[in-house]
Amino acid sequence: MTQKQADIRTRCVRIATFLGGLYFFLYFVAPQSVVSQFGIDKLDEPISNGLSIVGTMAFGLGLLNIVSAHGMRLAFGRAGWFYSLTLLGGLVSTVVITTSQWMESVSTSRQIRSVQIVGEFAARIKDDAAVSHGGVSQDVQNARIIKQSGDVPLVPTRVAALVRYAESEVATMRNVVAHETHRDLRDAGTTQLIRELDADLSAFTELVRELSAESSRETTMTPGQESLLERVSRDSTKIASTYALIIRADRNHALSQRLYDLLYNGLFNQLGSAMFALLGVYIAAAAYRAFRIRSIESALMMTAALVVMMGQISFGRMLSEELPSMRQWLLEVPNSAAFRAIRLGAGVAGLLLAIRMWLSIESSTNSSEHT
Amino acid sequence: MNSAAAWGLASILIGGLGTLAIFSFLWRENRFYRFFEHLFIGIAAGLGPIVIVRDFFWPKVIEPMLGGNITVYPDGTLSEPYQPLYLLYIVPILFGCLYYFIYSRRYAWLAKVVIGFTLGLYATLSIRGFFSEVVPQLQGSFKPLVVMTDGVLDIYQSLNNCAFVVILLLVMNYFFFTLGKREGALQAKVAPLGRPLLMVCFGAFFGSTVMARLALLVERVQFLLRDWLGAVATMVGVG
Repeated sequence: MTQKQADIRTRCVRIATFLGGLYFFLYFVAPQSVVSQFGIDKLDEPISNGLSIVGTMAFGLGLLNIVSAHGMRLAFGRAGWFYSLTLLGGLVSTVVITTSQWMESVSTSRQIRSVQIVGEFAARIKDDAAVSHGGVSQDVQNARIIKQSGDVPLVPTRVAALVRYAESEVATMRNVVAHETHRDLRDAGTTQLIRELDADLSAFTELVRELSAESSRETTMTPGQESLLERVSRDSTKIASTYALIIRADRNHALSQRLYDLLYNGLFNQLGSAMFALLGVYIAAAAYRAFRIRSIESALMMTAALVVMMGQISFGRMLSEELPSMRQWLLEVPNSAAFRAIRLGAGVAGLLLAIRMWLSIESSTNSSEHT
Repeated sequence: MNSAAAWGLASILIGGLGTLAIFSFLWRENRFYRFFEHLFIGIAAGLGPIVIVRDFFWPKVIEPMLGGNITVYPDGTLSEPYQPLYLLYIVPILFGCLYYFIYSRRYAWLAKVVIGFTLGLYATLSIRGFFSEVVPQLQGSFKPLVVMTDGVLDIYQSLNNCAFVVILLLVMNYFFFTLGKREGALQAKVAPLGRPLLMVCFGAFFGSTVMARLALLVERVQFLLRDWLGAVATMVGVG
């Protein structure tokens, strides 16, 4: 590689570093009026997501490294291969179980969403009819027109579609209720919800029939139809929330969810807590060595630590009633002030480091020797 | 015992075994500990990428690109029109793929381009963070030295605020090396006072950390004695 090629590569890296930070910097320093004028505030979320994607793509690197390092040890039967097998087994089973739990959860959300659509669609038919009659403000009309795509069918066609869809959803929910009634897993709360849903579905079926009859008589939107659509929207929203509770309770009994709970609550959380708790013992052991009073400073440190620890437990209160308030004062005044000074110093150092990194003037990381 | 209770019991039994394995490290490093340590690392390594895909990549990137966030109503109308601009997400995805050139000896410099981009991104995010987090703290640090409550001097609060500001300045002065400390100047004379104050701060930190860890230890011991032993007793038919 020639020096010229190396220089070009270095320049590319520096330009990329600068461009990477440019958007967030400009968004931060630009006045709000300018940001709104160019419509950047509305695009901020997609742009931020787009920039975050770049960093997110690096996660595969970690996974690849861990798999290759432990895979090699396992494949060649090197020392500790059994632990590599354990690690890879844990990794693969976590990926499989978490993915299947996620898929199950997506499927449940879709089931719930399909019921929610009934209420949304009923409200939409009513609102769109109001738009066409000029019953809403110009702003709302514009928003509706922008939001709609393609040709909007006539009201009777839409109501007929709503009725057909609602009837099919009611049939699906009835199936779920029948299935749930025969399960032995449900608790008292779910049983009550099933009863409520059953009653609501009967009333809702009547309401949909009424709407069907009303729409077959009239070709335009009547006040009676409007009121029925409003009721359909309201009642189906209530039904959807009850239905969501029932099928989420049902999902808790699914194998993927059980395995996920076992993995996450039974292993991951428990092992994480145990690791942190273990550090408590080592900190106490380290304190025994560090807190031997050899100077005024170490005496001060030990006194502060003792006051904070004793002030937090009932034994400390037994020793002195003043210890909790002393602890509070120690934390709020000297500790808080000194910590803030450290934080401010570190903050200024961090700011300078960030500026130097962004402008590629920090050390020789981006120099041609390294690129 | 129904299946929900059986799964709950299994979860407690495995959690207890894992906790005992981790605590066995106090005796010495052993196979039981290493098995659960590697299992923990494996689970953590597997959870990270899946959580990113589940909570960020799928709902914020893939779904909008595929139009999965748009509802199709029963009459064929859409909740909102499809935004083809979301397809532009392909650009950062492809750019992010440059990370994987790190495995190529010849094109490894391409990975540096994307690493530089990410560094620049997080550098400006931390610049933003400084002004939105540290500057308000700086303003809040300079508290009123004389506090009046209902027209009467609040001596306790005033002394506290004075102590706060003095400690803050002394500790900051201790770390102030930029211009050097001239011998005999006030700045150099008061600089040593910052050190014992820092020790008080570190002591308080230490105390808080130990108490937090001990709380976790107590919780773990309670779990072992109450839940885990209870589950073992149930399993062997004693409980």
